[in-house]
Amino acid sequence: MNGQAYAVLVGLHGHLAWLGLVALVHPLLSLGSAGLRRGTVVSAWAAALLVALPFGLGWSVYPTYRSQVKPGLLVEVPAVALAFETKEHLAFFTVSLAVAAAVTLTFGGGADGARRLARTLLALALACGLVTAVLGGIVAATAHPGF
Amino acid sequence: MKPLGARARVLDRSSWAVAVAAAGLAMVVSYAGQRVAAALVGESGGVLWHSVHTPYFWRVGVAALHGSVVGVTVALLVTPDRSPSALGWLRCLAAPVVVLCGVAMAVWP
Repeated sequence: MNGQAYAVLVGLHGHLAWLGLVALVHPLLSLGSAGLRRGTVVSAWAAALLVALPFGLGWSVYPTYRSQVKPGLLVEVPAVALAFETKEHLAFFTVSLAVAAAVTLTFGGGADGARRLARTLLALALACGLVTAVLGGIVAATAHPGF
Repeated sequence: MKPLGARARVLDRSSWAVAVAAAGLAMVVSYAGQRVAAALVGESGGVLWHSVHTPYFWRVGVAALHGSVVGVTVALLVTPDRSPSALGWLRCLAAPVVVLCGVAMAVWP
């Protein structure tokens, strides 16, 4: 992958990830009120897909990062390289928790306990996602092809 | 004699929720466990970048497999009378488990 394509995909990855995090807030807030609306389940799925999509994009740019960016980054700024590693692990947590919350709502949303559990999972996904986004911003400010 | 499949039961909504949420948390724990185990035996994402390294998709796949096994097991074991309390327990456990895994990932990136 050339540097320009990498930069475009990384930019898209970051913007979609922030969009996904914002989307997570809607089901989180609407689950605070009593009852379960169909729109809440739909928005939980939309949010889960919006965090899964940039996760997939991250996979597509990872080989280029690994071969062209990471070696130089590890030598020059190891703390940023390690921040990237932490970020990719937390991103997986975010996607797992968001999808688990959406599926929990779909199958068990009628039960009060299930709704509360889904809300907890969404809150944890948002927390992991926010840390991921902050670390991602730090990495993106430093890392690029040819670093 | 009971006909084949007579013991099969339909999961209620709470049981489904318990199984799915347990599977999601199991994926997080499995991923973190694999990463920490790899770091403890000497494979670090930061150090051995040029050497043999467990592929990311492999770790994610194994975590998904573990999540599926836990989810199916919980679905088979949990009964409708137990599922409400199981939901409560899972809800209490979720935050400490995820925080612990997140801290582990920061310590062993």
